[in-house]
Amino acid sequence: MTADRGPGTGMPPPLRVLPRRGARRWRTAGAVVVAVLVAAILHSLWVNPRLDKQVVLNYLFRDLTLSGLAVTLYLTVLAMLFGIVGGTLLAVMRISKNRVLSTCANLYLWVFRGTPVLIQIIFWGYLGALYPRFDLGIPFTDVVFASVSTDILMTPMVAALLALGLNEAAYASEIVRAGILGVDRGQIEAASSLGMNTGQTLRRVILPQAMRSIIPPMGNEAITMLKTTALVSVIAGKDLLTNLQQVYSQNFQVIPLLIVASIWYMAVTSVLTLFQAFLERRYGRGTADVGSRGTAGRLFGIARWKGLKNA
Amino acid sequence: MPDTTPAMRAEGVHKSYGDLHVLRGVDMDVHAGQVVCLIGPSGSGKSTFLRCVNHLETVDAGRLLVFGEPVGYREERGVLRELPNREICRRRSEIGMVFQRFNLFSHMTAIENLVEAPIRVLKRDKEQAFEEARELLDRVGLSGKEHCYPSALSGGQQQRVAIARSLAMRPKLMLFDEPTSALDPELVGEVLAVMRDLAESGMTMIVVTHEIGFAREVADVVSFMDHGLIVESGPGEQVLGNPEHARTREFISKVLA
Repeated sequence: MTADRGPGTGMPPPLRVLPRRGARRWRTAGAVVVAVLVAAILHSLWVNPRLDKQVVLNYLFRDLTLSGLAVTLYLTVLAMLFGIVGGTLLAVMRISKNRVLSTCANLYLWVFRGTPVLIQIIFWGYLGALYPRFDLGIPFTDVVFASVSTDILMTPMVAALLALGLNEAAYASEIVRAGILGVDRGQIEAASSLGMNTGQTLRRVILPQAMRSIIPPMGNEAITMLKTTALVSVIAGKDLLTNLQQVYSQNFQVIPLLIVASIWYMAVTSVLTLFQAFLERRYGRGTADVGSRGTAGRLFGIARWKGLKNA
Repeated sequence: MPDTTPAMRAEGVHKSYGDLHVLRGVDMDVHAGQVVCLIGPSGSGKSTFLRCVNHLETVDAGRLLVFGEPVGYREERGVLRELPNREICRRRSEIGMVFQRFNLFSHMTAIENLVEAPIRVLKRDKEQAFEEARELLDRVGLSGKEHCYPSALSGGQQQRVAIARSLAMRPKLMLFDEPTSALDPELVGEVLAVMRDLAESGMTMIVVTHEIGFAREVADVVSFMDHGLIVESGPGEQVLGNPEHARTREFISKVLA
């Protein structure tokens, strides 16, 4: 831009633009204060003899920790997949003109948002107490083709997955519904006028545009889910936090072990945050500014220096 | 006009939204190759009528035939039965529609907007659809903009992409719903030029517009609509230059003032 200005081009030379007076000084001062405070807190932890760093290091990569982490990741990923697919289905049912479909979806939301997820986990975990056997047959007759004990089907992992997935579907459906409602009605009319049917319009036109507003709250859901998986301890699930709690109930190293857990939760959250940023860029096509923030900005919420200058 | 099935025929079309009687018995014939401009004050029902033609709105009473077939319905022993969605989609795919606010798919580039429906709805060959889309963009003066997203195009360019998107379906009838009303004044001309070309190529068009100049120059028939009725209909010079009805005269004198 500046190349075709200045002497000899007939254009006046570009003006130099300086930041607001004092802006840089305040920014620098603020950064120094924050840096000093953070350093002070970290230092106080580092030199604190009551925080046994050796315990943290010892347990950070223990099999027990890693296997717990694997369970936590497995539950988070599968429950979220389950929740997103189920939630999309529920959202479409809710906005459907078919009253049977919308009523079913409303009923589902009423039950699964109306009860605490903890109770739902216990319910699925102890389903055998309510229904000892599962029979496949003709209802209201004695005809039974197959029968299996509930305890064989409902292992803690299956129960945990079912509970978290079904619960997540209820919450995810509202996020998807909000996303769909946010798409301009004109888009639907344009698709209709081109002869696209409801399914094509949904898949090709509405959902891709709804994704832009679905992704940020869905990222929230995934990060919340990561930590909600710890609730499966009530049905003998062996997730990260539960495994480490068992250790500290024996050796009383509560804080070091919770730090181990926190380190891993934060590491996974960071990965999820980056994945979210990737998805936002992917679905932000056709819109102006989507991701002017770099990796560090994504993680810590600070804008890149260049971004700040342009803002 | 040779005696053939009209491209569009409306007989006593009524439409209400609750207590609001928007269309109160609209009669209209549009023959193949004709350009009909529908003018009238806002709220007169022009846009609603246009949206009924491709079943974006349903009709409460009366008949609306496109190429001799009722839109969205089938006549069965004296009653109208709503068609299955598949049939409605097939009939809509033969009618192109251009909207006031363009309604381009904002997550697709210009060329992706053009090929989407031909590939998905008409199951056309992909390569052929892209080839044809490039030709259409060239025809509306937008070659080189194939890979631009709508947000990077001006209003006039977006509307021209929207026209090309409709043409990509090879429609037999084109509906324009105030295609230049959302444009900056200096961009109106480029869209009208594309529409004029289209009219000259023999396309059957129904145009709801406030562009009196365009109507006078291009339309075979100008229809003036007020309060849900066609008040006056005829050649442009007559309806616009020497209107019979007082209401038409009043409207035209205001628009041209």
